[in-house]
Amino acid sequence: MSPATVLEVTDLRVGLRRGDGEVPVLDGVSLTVAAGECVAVVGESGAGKTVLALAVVALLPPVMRVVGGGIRVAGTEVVGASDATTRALRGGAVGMVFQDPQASLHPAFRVGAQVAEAIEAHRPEVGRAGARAEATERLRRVGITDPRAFPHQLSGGMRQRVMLAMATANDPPLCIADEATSALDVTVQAQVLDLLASTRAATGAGLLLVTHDLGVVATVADRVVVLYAGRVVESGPAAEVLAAPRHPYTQGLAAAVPRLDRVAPVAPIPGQPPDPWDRPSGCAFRTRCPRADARCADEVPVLGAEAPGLAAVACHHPGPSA
Amino acid sequence: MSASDAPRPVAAAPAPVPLLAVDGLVRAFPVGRARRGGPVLRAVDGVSFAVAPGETLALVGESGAGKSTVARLVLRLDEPTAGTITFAGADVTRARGAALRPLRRGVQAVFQDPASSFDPRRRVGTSVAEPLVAQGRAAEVGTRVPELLGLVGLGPDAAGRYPHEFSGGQRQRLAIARALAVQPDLVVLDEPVSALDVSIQAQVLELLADLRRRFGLAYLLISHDLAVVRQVADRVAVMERGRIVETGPTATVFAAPQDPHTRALLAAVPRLPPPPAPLSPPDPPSPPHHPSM
Repeated sequence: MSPATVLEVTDLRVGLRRGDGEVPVLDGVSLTVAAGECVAVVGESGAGKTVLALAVVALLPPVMRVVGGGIRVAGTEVVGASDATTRALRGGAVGMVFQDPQASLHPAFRVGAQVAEAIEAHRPEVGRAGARAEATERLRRVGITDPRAFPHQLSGGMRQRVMLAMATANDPPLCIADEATSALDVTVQAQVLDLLASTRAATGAGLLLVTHDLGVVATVADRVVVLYAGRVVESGPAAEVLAAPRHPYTQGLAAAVPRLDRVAPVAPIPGQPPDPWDRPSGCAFRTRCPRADARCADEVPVLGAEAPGLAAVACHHPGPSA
Repeated sequence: MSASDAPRPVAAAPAPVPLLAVDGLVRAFPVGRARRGGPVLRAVDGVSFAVAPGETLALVGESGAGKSTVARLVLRLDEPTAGTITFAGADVTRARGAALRPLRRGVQAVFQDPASSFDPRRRVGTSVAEPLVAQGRAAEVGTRVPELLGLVGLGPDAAGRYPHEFSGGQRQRLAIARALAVQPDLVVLDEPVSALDVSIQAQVLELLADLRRRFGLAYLLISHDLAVVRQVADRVAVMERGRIVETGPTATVFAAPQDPHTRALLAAVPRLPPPPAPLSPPDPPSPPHHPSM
C-alpha cells in the first residue's frame, strides 16, 4: 500500500443473514482512494453502495457481517478491529457526512457544541475551551457564523455545512459522503459540492462519494466505481467512464438521466435490480441486459482493463452503446 | 375577489377555456408570537397561471419558493388568503360539499413519497379503489381496479398485497393508478420522481408520458429537477419567494432564461458530459453475439 492511499478495500465480501443461511450483498469489491482524490460509488438502490460505506467505518447493521476481504483506512485494518480502534476511526481518521443532516445532528444541542464534542472526543488535549474556539472557527470556514444556533434554526443546506464542519473537525485523511447532497436544492447542492472540493483541496483528504446522481459524479469525481448487485461492473476515470461507458449497465444508467440541454426520451433500464437472495447466476445484470447470451448465465464476468489506468469493465460483451 | 392588482407576468393562456385557472392566489401564514395582526409570511404571493386541457405546466423553484403550497391550494387541501381558483369554468375557491365534487373527481394528485401515501395496513387494492368509493362508484371497483393496475404495468394480483411488498417505483405506479381511478382531467404531480433511482425514474416518466397521450391528461408538475421538467413540460413557471418570476414555453425559458433567478437555477444543475461520441479508440473485437439495443 503506497503511503498516499487513504482507503484500500480488497475483495470485500459482506453477507446478509437470512433464515438459516447468508446471502452476499457485497461480493468481491475492491477499490482504492488516494489522498486528495474523489472516488464516486454509483449504482441503484440496493446495489450495495451504502453497505460499502458502512463497512468502511465498521457500522454494518447487526444482520450483516464482513465474510471476507480487507479494508485498510490510512494504514489501519478495519475488518476484525477492536471497538476501541473503530471508535477512534470514526470522526478521527474518517469523517462522515450522510444524507439527512436532520437525523445526524442532535436537536437539543447548539451546533457549536456538537462540533466541539467531535474535536474533544478525538483530541482531548485541546481542552473544552480550546475545542469551543476551534469549533467556532471551523463553522465560520463553512459559512456558519452563529455557533449558538440550534439545528432547527438552520436550513437543510446550512445543516449539511455543519455536518461537513463536524466530519472534518479532526482533519481526517478520508471523508465519506453518502448521498450528502441528494436532499438539497440544486443551488444549495452546488454550494455544498464546492465546499467539499475546497475542504478537500485544503486538507488533502481523500473522498469516497456515494451517490446515485451521475451529474454530481461528472462534476466532482476523479474516478468512478459502478456497483450492480454487490459487484463492481465498471470502474475508471470518471470522465472516461461517463463519456464512453462500456458496460451495458453503466450505459443504461447514463441513458436514463433526463437531459437539460435538449428534449430526448429517457430510456429506462427494464426491470428492477435483483434482491440479494435472488441474484441471477453468472452476470447479475443479464436479466435486464440487451446483450445477454448463454455465456452470461454460466460465467461471472471478471473485472478487467485493457491497460492499467484505463477503465475496467466486468462484462462478456463490453463496448460502446449501440 | 379579484386580484387584478397583483403584478403578474403574462401567462400565455393557450386555450380559450383553460381547464384550471388561478388568479392572484395568495397564502399568508402568520409568523411569530402575535398571531393576530402580526407579521405574516406570504408563502404564495399573487400567483396566476392557467393550464389548458392536455397541457403540462411545470412549477419550478427552490425549496420554500411556494411550489407545494400552490399545489395544496389547487387541490383545496389548504385555503387561500386571497385570489381565485377556477376549474372547468366554475369558481371552486370556496366551494364546499357537493360543489366541491367536480374538483375532487377532476383533479387528482401524486406526491413525492410513495411510502407515506399508502396506508401500510391496507391492501393496495383498497387504497387504489378509494377515490371510486368516495365518488359513489363502488360498483365499479371490481372491474376498474385490475384495469388500473394493468395501466401502470402491474398484475391484478398486486391488489391483494400490502404497500411494503412493493419497491419505491412500484409504489409510485400504484399512486398513479389511484390518481387515475376516477378519470381525472388534471393530475397534480408534486415531485413525483424525486425519491426514485434514475433508472426507475425514467420508467415512471415514460409511464406518465404514455398515460398523458392515451387519456389527454393535463399535468401540473411541481419539481426542482430542471432536467425532468425539460423532458415533460410544455410550459414552465419559475417561482421565487411566492411569486412567478418567469413563465413561458419550456424550450424558450431553458434556451434563453430572462430572470437572473432562472439563470442561477439552470447554472447549478450538475451535468453529464455529452453523450458518447466516437472519441474512444476502436473496441477490441467483440464476441460474435452482439445484438443492437
